[in-house]
Amino acid sequence: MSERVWVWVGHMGLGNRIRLVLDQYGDRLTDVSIFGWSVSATGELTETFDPNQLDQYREKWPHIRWWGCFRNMDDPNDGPRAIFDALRDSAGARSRLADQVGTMFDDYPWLTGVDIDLESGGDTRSAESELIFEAVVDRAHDRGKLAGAALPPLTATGSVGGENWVRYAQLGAMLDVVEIMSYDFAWSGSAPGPISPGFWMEDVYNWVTSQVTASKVYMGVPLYAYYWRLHNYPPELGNTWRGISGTYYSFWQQFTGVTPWYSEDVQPNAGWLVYRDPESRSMWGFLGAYDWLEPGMWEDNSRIERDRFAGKNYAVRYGLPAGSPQWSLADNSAQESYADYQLHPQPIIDVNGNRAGPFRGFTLTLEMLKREPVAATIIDDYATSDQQLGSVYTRPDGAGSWEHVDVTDAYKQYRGSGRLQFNNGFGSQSLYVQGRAQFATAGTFSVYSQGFEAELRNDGRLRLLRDGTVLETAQVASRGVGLTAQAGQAVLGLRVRENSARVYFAVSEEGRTPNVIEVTDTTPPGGPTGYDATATVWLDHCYLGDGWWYMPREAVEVTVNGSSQLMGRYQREDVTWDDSNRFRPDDDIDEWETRADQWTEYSVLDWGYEHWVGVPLELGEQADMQVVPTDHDVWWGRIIAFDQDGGIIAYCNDAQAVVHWRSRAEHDWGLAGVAAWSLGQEDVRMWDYFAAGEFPAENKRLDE
Amino acid sequence: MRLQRPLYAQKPIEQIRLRIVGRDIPAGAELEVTDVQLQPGEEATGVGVNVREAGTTAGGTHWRNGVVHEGMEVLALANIDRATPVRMEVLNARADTRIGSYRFGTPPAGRAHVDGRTHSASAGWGRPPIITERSDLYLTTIEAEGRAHLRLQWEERQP
Repeated sequence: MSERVWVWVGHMGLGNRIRLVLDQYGDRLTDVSIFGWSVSATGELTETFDPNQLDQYREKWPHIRWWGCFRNMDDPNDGPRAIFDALRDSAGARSRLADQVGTMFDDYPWLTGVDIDLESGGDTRSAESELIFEAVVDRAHDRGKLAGAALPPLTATGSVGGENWVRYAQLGAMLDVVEIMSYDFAWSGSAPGPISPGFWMEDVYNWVTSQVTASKVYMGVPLYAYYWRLHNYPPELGNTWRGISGTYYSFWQQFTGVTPWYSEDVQPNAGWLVYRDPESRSMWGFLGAYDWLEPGMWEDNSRIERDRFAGKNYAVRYGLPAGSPQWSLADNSAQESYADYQLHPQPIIDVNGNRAGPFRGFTLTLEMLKREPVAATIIDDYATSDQQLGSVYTRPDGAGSWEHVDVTDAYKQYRGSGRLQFNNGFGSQSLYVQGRAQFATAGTFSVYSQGFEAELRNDGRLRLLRDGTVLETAQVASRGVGLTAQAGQAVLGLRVRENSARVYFAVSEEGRTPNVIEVTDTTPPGGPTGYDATATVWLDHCYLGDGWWYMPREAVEVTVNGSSQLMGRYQREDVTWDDSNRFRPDDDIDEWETRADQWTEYSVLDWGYEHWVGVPLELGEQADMQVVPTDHDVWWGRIIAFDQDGGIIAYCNDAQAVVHWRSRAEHDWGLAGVAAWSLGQEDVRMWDYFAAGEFPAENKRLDE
Repeated sequence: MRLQRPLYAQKPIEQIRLRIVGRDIPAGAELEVTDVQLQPGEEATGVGVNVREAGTTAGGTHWRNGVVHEGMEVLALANIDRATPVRMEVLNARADTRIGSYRFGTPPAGRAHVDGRTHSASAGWGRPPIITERSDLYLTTIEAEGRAHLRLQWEERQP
């Protein structure tokens, strides 16, 4: 077992339960970081918690290492980013900070070391950030003290919270210990889920231990809960976000019905079941859910697929990859597709033993993963086959200029250079052409249509050309050259209309591909549509769509007991719909400009929730429900019948979850131990579980 | 320091009046009472904090409500002082249903119960669940085609 157990104390004061643990369970603690100093932009430290309050516990448990922790998020004048940047910018401020750390050691000579907690550092300026750490670490070492830091969690692909300034290798080399704050993957503003999901913990510690000596690393584990309100949209409830946090005991009180979220005149007070998430080992549960189904639990369906991704089930209708006849727009309307379900909200037994149900009625909440609309499909080709390469495209620069490659059984590319051109003229049709490619050699990659060309060079220079004349140039992220398949990709798009040409660029197809260059006072000279490269490029997704018409991927129609509701549709202004579920803006603007200024979930890349408040469900009555996937490619997940006055999903680690990750910290990665945020929020049984009934050494053998 | 003693009563208690007296306190010293706790049983729960020490009420009958799907690990938060048997009721169970160690079979009209308190059941065989002391209830094996509604009920037991 990893023996080391690190906790932070100080930001909640010293409540009775915190004192109890420090007094009675000090033998289970190895490191206590005193969250007791705030750093300012000038490097000044302000004491926010009196460390002398801990004297009795220091005396009782001399084995504990005590750390003095300063952080940049509690300054009355400046936000964390401003303080971070000020310390990066000023050698004087860094020197002042080092002096202040020295004073901390003077004032509290019993401290083992300093614990640095600098957050909200952004995605750049790594070297300047390391100067701050270096100043503090050097001072600590000069004084014969240790230096540790609470570092944001990153995986090989980076940070989920805008903390890509972190370079584990550099920081890990200079620090004596690092505590990875591997929590808040899900948080108040995000989609609900485990606070430290299992797949992400694995990604984080696989990455950390590839960069930092494992024995320096403490695995951060959350001891708290998050609740997300899922019975209505946040603006309807007067909230910015869906989520709010709490302690383990708040979770216990909610799910036992001891302390209800809403008062008894709003909804019945009741105890609810809890579940354990198989991967994160976190507890989770619904409050106020009278029935819920997984998306695959249908009675009947037509043309609906179901699958599982990142621990969540979903159902979907996929779109057609091409129109019929070829080169026409694909009809991706719902047609005969549907999924039929049965909902049966059951009465509950409240804390007084009475049958109960919602006082006013139900909200039907549908989990949905919406996607950005796409240009109405003409060709959607994931480098399908050699046959496709030969029939859909021409190769004006020779048959050998492009070839089809099976990289794996499931992943394919077109590789080559020169022109790869769609085998159709299109007349003067407005088109959107997009390619996802990576540079095998240095050079340029282009998409072209109607006489315009969007040309990307591997160093990030992006140009729009008309008949070979440069109209505009922009700089985007440079792309790596000669990397492994699917690394360093660029998504390059070009939309040409009667009086405009727009260039789009992103590093992945997730979410929106932003507009980078827009020229609106130009006319297309005309010409073929396709791809061109002076470099050797590997192209794995070719997409050709209409220049005006879009297909939405956001809404489904739900019918319950004969009433219907379209769930998920954005409100758009000045658009025209056709009878195949396509729309176009009336003016020459991008699609997203038709739906500005409305509330959306925090991240469009994540699961969101749509609500049908007042859905015609009756308590105790089975109801037929049908989902028609009006739009293609939108995923729906769980279907939940909530009390319309209060419905919540919550996640929380209990003692067992923490013990699970503590064991894996040692077994899977050989880490120093765990670092728990924070003392006072936990299921106190955790401290007994940590000892786990271990026998004294003299009678430890069980087989005698 | 933490002082404790059991109070024995011969009849149901409606009200307790508590008086705290300090004696033989040296001159200059003072006594500070930080918290007072009342809980059922002869033994105080000691240093492992019971949830009732977190300001919650104790005793009485508990109910839990919710939906279970095939394969889910289900918990009922409890953390009670004394082990206690549980009554389980399933509704809308559409096929062979097993929850914990109890096999309901395919309940008629989707509805069945087993009551560990009275040793009775409407159908099926197996062991009804028992919540062990200081623990939550774990029902680790669920077989139910689709989903079923589950209601749990137990009494907190006095010593």
